[in-house]
Amino acid sequence: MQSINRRKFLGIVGAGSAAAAATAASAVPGLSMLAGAPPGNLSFHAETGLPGQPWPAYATAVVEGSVDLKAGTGVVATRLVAGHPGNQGDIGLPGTARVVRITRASTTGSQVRLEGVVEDRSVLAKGESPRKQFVLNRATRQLRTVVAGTEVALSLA
Amino acid sequence: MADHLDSSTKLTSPNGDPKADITDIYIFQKPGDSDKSILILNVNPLAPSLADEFQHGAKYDMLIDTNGDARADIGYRVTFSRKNAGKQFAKVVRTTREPGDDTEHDNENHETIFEHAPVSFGQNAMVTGDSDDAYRFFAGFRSDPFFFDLLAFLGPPPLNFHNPGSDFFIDKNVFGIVLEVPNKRGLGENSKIGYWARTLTRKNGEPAHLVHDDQMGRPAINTVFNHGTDKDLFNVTPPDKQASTVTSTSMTFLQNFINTLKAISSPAYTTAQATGIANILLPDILTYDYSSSAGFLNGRKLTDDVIDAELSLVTNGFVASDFVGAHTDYSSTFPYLGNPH
Repeated sequence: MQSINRRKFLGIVGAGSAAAAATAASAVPGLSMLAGAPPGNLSFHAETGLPGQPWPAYATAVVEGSVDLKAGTGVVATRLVAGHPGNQGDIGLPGTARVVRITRASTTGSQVRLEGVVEDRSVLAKGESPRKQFVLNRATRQLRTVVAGTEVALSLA
Repeated sequence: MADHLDSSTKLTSPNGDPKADITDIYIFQKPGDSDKSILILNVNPLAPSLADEFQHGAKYDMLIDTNGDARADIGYRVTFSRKNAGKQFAKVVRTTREPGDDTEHDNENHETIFEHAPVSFGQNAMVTGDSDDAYRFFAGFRSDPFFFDLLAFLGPPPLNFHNPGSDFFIDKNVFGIVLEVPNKRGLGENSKIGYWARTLTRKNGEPAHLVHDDQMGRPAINTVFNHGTDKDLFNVTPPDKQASTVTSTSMTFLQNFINTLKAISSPAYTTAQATGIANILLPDILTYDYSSSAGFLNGRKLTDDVIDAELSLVTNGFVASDFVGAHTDYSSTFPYLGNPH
């Protein structure tokens, strides 16, 4: 039997994002930024429970990343983790994790728009575009994107 | 999703142990033999990604209520040896509770049904016992028989399933425990019984002390009706106490179920309607008449589309289907669960 250690994989993705966040700094007020990092870098973590109210959340959509806004580069990871927000564990729902290489970043007022591409096309679902968009709104502290085929609004940490 | 990964804390398997995380249970009349029934208890979602064995030291209980009091009168307890050199062995014990005995399940009468029954880790199902024997047993790595469009369910409300749906579980595996039992001798004289399952695991740091880990009756009840840490509480609350147990909302599970039914139904159930349904759903036990070959809500067969039935019930017909159907890899003979992927 073939053993795929998704727990380890997701741990690596999570650790990578956390490490990126730890070295990033804020150019966009209102998002999770750390002092001492180069200006113009954006790191963020956002999540929301799925399905939404009034159903009990069975899973948590998580989006986290680190982006150089000036260069328009970085990495954003999206995934679905079993469990509701705040109490989710380390088991991702298979086939739902995506690693997106950011290719373009733009800022308009309180809004940051990120565009990127999933380089590993083998993870894509049938008909799923490799191109991804993320819209972060500092005013509403929300991030909008598509996770596992569903457009969701996630709360920024 | 039927009961996969249904704990909220230490997630995502109850108490962090996928080996004891119940995914589904089934009970149905044995095909071609109305004198026997098949009991199935599946654990370990996404196997073998999270775990590739049964837990040594855990107790896997298949419980039977013979008199409608939502308490176990008969139990089949399965335990496993340590996995050694790629091999693991099971012991199956039948337990009975004397009428009026309110002690826990551990202090009851025991009859050993099987010892040293091998666990299957490969494609071949190693079955213990013959078709002529009173009992037959299987435990091992198998295809997950559950079917559901989980990712569509996780979309934003209102539920919006697409036709055709996409079965999230089509390529998933579990560890299955399958027991063939003689109806009257194994399940009692009364053909109308209740069936549920639970797992008990050793408490961290106190190996002699068993803690209630997971529990399941009807599919998807815990995942659909209970929020947050109440999922954990539901997993350790005996069926006969479920309706009256007070949850984190300061209301009972019964009241929570009523409120949830009113919130997710369209048109919304009246309080009286929701109360009636909640009183059917609690206690969370699969009701089964072994004299009937019918499926869900009479027990549950592998091919029963329980999600369609429950979606329609809890939404008052607003959602009738997730547009996925039964798998095609079930075995026509014992142990009925399909070969692993």
